[in-house]
Formats: sequence, structure tokens, C-alpha cells
Amino acid sequence: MIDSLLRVADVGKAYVGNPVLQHIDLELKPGRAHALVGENGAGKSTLVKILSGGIRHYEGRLELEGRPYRPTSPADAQAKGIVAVQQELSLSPFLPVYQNLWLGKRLPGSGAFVLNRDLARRSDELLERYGVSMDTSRWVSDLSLEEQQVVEILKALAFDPRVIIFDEPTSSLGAANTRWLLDLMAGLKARGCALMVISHRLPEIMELADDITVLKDGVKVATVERRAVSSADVVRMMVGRDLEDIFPPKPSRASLDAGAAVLEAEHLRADGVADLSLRVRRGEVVGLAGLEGQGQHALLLALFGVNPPLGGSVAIAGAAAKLHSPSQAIREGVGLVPVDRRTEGIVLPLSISENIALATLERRQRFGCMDRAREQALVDATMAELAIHAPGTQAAVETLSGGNQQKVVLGKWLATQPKLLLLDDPTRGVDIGARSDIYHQIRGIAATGVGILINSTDTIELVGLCDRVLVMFEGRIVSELAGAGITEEAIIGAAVGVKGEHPDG
Amino acid sequence: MDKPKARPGGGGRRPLGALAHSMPVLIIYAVLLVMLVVLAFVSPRFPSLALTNSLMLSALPLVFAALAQTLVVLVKGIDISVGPLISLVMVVAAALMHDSGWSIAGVVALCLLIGMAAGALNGALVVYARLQSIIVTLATSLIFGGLALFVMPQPGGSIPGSVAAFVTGNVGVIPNTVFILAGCLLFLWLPVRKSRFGQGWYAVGGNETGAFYSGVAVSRVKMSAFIFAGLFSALAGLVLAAQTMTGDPAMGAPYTLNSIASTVLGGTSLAGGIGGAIGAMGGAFVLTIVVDILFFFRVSSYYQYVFSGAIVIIALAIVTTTEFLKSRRAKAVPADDQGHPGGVPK
Repeated sequence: MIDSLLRVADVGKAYVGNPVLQHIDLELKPGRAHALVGENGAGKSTLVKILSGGIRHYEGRLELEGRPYRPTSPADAQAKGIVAVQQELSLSPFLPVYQNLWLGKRLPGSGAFVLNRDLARRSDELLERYGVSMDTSRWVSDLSLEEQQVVEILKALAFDPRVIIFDEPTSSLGAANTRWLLDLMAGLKARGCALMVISHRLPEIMELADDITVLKDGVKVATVERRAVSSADVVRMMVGRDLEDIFPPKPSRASLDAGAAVLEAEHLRADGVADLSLRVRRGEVVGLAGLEGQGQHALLLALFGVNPPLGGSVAIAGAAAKLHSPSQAIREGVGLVPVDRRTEGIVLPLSISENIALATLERRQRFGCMDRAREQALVDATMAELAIHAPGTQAAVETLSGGNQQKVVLGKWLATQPKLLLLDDPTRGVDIGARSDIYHQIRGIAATGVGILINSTDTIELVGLCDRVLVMFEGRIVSELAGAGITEEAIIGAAVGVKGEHPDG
Repeated sequence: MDKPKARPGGGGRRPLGALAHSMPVLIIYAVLLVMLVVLAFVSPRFPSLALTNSLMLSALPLVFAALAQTLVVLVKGIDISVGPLISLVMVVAAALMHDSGWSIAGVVALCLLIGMAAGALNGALVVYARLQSIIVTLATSLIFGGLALFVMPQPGGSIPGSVAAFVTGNVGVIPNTVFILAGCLLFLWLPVRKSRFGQGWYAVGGNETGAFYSGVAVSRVKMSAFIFAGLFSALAGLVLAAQTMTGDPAMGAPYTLNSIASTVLGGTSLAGGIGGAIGAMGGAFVLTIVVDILFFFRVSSYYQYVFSGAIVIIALAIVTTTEFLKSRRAKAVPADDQGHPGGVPK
């Protein structure tokens, strides 16, 4: 039996009494890759931050080669040979690549000074060693996201670490560079490094991992050997219960096809959207899928007039629509629940009723003053309809839970009586109970005749909730899935450009 | 081990190289050049040592103040206390050099120490007490201003002629101020800029969390920026005292806003992480020379402020427009046909 290099024993972490990780045990062994999988919010990134010194206060113990290990900072962890490729890039945008690669590292012979020529030479050696070609004198802010991710990976490798933690390292890599990284990881394993890999691309996990630990809501479900499981087994462990318990039933395809189209876009072009056509019918919930940043978010922004369409035509409920600004989009009957509700969706210090009324103020004016009675009626109706749990309509929204905050955002847009409702990752950071509520409400809103277009990074959500799923790649729709054809394998396969290839291989 | 098949990366070396990000700096120096040409036509003293000397003398305190401001802005802060700190140093210098047991070198050293201590106070409140720099320096500007009034309630004191001559004199055709400025840049700014601290200013200003995760000592880096800012403010105060040969507790005040204007003119981003000394110097010279030019055109000194404000707005408009056009062009470049935006495997 191989001894473990890094051992995690009974580790837990809570934020203001709210546990995000509980009793985690696992071992990283030299020459093996340990995959950490779980839904968004399962606690994966928290564990990464604990191991790499980003979080100092937690419960439990860590051991490095049998000795206690308690990193005080990322620099401390790096000095001990443990480095993480963070999901949020740690690069400095206004420094050249060669300075970024060695940032925070003390190099022999450099003393107190930063010797650019020395750094550039070492960078070229590093790039050569890992088979990368790039002009290292460029500022990081001039690189594409994909190039930045490559730099982030090389930056971690520059430490010659013994333990490397990859947190979603392929999220912005294309197919060729993903291949490069997977080969690189295999090479690191052969050199005796211990790897921890977090990825929501299951096929990569199944190819690379030797051990798989499944996390769910901050608790370890199981650690299994890769050889002993199929990807379907892993998905079942991740979700933990049958989809029917979480998601509302879907209406029949025939009843949806009978509905008129609320959105018809033809050859739509916009910032990040390249010539796509789509249609959403009354009562239909259509999902947008794909790797991050392939135009899903951009499409919603275009339809809501934030990045107005540059070409093509858009019709809302059969009439040609102008979408030059959000206020115009609202008048055309489009609503958007934005991805970052805390900055774009709600005004935290304002009350529930003020937030719900915000998008429709001008509809309830009388002689230029607000009609308080009508506002109160609207707010009461919305709160009842969405089952918002709150001490009262005057409670500040910041005192509510994430799920209830999201319901307030939904309520605000329902008040505009939209024909088309755009949802941008509506359950990000929402716990599973409130999530199920939100799914039922989305279906309820659709049932009143609203067409819904939802962008989601959660594949399980797309499978469980949507009547149709459009998979995007580089601003185009590359695949359309409907009914029983919506499966995780189909979505992921289309997203990474693999067609009809079973991830089990 | 498999040889990695893919070679991520791509993009050749760009023809512009280091100049690619120097657009705002180039613009401010172009503006400066135009102004010098105008000045050459309108000034009866052109070309003369007297003119360059007076230009350098009137610009030097603002150059130092702009360097101080630029340091703080680089690490995502802003320093409102630059002006009052200049006043404080100025009156301390004038009071102690006037008649006390202090040697001149001792007073200079004390003034520089006061500046660094003031910067350290600002820095500690921002870094360790986690207060916003604008609030901290607003409060300390009141403190420094009050201390200056305590030392010298009205203008007074004096600076020995030898000290004044050291600053206002010249060697051949080159004013001493040029040597002072060059010396400070070469032996004070440059070594720190090239050290880990200097790199840290840009790393922290650009992405503080990222710098922390990279192992950069973020707190020490920010402290160093504030302490050096205090040092440069003190230099500004000393030069101002030597020039006027007196101390005045109100004289530093305008340098707060002018230093911010110079910093911005010099291409330093208020969002942090972009900018530097060369630009700040250019900005300070432009703001100084515009006053001289307007003087020759007999524009009322009240209107000079209006012109200074207009210049800041115009320069910023030019910079943001060019940046905007550049980003539009960058976005217009389509991904290559294999679907790899930029990272081309070879």
C-alpha cells in the first residue's frame, strides 16, 4: 500500500454557524490523481482553499507525510510543496507573463531585485519543458482567457510542487489545450506527484482519476476507486436522490407545440453571439448549456438590450422587437433575472416590497406620486404566490436567505408581466431545498403562458427542468436536445464537441 | 511520459512591444512637447537658463507630490493628505533651520522621517485597520494640517541662503533641480521599483486576492507604497521651503488635487495597477507649464484653474477614447477556425 502524501482528517469549516464542510477525510497519494466531484456549493473550493493555505481557521487536521501540516498562508503552503491552480485566476493583469510566473517566489541569486532578463529566461525554460509556446513579455490582460488559464497552470508548476490541486482547470480550455493538460497531468503522476482534480467535466475525471471522492452539501458521500465505478454511478452519488423528487413534472411536448412563439430570433448577432436562430414557445422552459463563456450569458444580455443585437431579427410574441436598452426590452415584455443577484438583481438594504415594486414603479403612479395601496396589493400577491419566507414585507432583503432573495428577484420580474423571462443561472449559490422551490415556481410561471429561457451551469438542473436544451459553443447553437434526448451525457458531449461518444469510453 | 502533443499559447511578438501600454504616457509627453513649443514662441526669455530654471523650480514640488500620489494610487488607494503633509514638512524645515541648534542635515533628515512616519500612519490605518484610504487620508490631512498650524500659525521662519542656493542654483547650463530630480529618480525610485516591493505594487494593484494567493506579502507591499509616498511628499515640502525661503502652513494645500490631476494625466489608473513615475512627471510638468503659458497670454490667474481642469478632462477623454477603440479592435478579431480563441496548439 502506498503511503499518503497529504492526509485530510475530519476537516470541517463553517461560516457564521452555517457549515459548508463537515468531517471530510481523504488521502492524496504520490503518483495518483484524486478527483473531487460534487454539485456547485458542495464545498469543493472551500477544501481547496484550506489545503492551499487560503483559509486559516477550520476544524480537523491535515498531515503532510505523516507530520502535522497547518499552512498559515498560500506562500507557506507553496514553500512546503503544495500548490493550487485556483478557479479564480490569481494572475496580475498588468504585469508581463514572465513576472507573473514567478510572482511571490524567491529565486536563488536574485536578492531583493526582480531581474527581468533572468525571469524571462527561466520562463522560456519552463514553457519549453511543458511544451508551451507563448510570448512571455505580453501583459496578462492582453491574453485570452484560455491563454491566461495556461499561464495559471504553468505558474503552479513553476514551484516544482509535490502536491498539485487543480480547481476546474479546464473550464476555459478548448479541446486541444484540454488534451495538453490531461497529458501533462499524466506526466506529473508518472513523476510521483499527488494530484487533486476538481472538474465538472465527468469524462475528464473518468480518464484521469485513480480515486474519486464525492461531496454533497459539504459532506463526503463516498470515496471510491475509479476502476470500480461508471460515470452513471458517480452522477447518482452526486445528486443523491432521484430527479423526480427535486423537479416539477414537465408538460407534454404536444401541448407545448400548440403554443404560439413568444420569442423568434433569426440570424441574431451580438457581442459574443454569432448568427444564431432560436424560438421559445408559450409555456416552454428552454435551457442554454455549454462550457462557460460560450455565449449563453451574452445571448441573454443581447435579448435584454444590455448588449443590443448587431444584426438579425428578434420578434417578441409575433411582433418585431427593438432591444436597444434594458428599459426598451422591459417594455417589449422581456425580463431578466441576472446571474449576480447581489449586484444586479436586488438592492440589498431596501425592503422586500421596495425591491418587488422597483421595476414597475411608473405603472402605479397617480399624479406623479406612488399609489401605495396598489403597491401593497402587488407585493402581498407576489409574496404569497412565490412563498417568500420573511418576517414581513418591510424586512430588508439582505436579511433573507439566498433562496428567498432569488424569489424576490423573480417576483420583481413577474410584476412586469413579461412575455419572455430570461434566467441567468438562477440557482447559483442556492441550497437544495430552496432550489426545488424555485424550480416549481419557474414551471408555475411558464404554465401561465410565459416563455422561459434559462442559462445554467448545472447540467442536472437542465436535465430536470427544461423542455428543450440548446447547447452553445463559441456563440453558436451546436446542438438542440428535447424530451428524453436531454441527458447529462448528451449535454456534456455536445458542449465539448464530442458527438455520440459515451463518456464511459 | 508522453510528449505533450499540444502546444498551447500562440501569438507572435507584437511589433509595438513595450510601447503597447504606454499610450497615455506618450500622449502626455506629446502634449508637453506642444506646450514647450508654444512657450518658446510666447516667452521673451526663450531659450535661456533662467527660463528652464524657473520652469524646473516651479514644477519640482508638484513632480514629487505626483510621485507620492502615484504610489498610493498604484495600490488602489488615494492620498488626500499629500498637501497638508507638504505644509507640515515645510513649516518644520523653516522653523528649525531659522534659528535652533539643529544642523541643516539634521533638519532634512528629520523632515524625511516625518514624511515616512506620516506615510506609515496612513498605510497602517489602511492595511491593518482596513479602513478606506480616502477616509484615512482625509482624517490625517486634518491632523497634518493642524500640526502645521501648531508649528507655525502664520507664514514665517526662514531658510538659509545656502540651502536655497543649492536648490535654485545651476551647474553650467543645467539647473541643480535637474540633478535633484534625476538623483531621486535614479537612487530612490528606480531601485525600489525594480525590487520585489515595486513589482508588488503592480501585482497588488492589479489583483490583490491573486497576489495573496501567489505568495506576495500584500500588507508589506502596500505599507511600502504609503511610506514611500510620505517620503516623496516630504521631498516636495523641502523643495518648496528652499524655493520660497520661508514656511507657510497653507502653501501645501493645492498640491493634493494637483497631484491627483498629475497622476491621472500621467496615465495612472485610479483602479490601480497601471501607471508609473514617468507619466506622473509628465503630468506635473504639463500642469505647471500651462500656468506659465496662460501668464504670457495675460489670462487672469482665476481662469488658470479653469484651464487646468479642462486639460485634465481633455487628456482623459483622449486616453479613454484610444483605449476604447483599442478594445473594440481587439474584440473584432474573430476566433480562429479551429475554435481556439488565441491559444493555438501547434
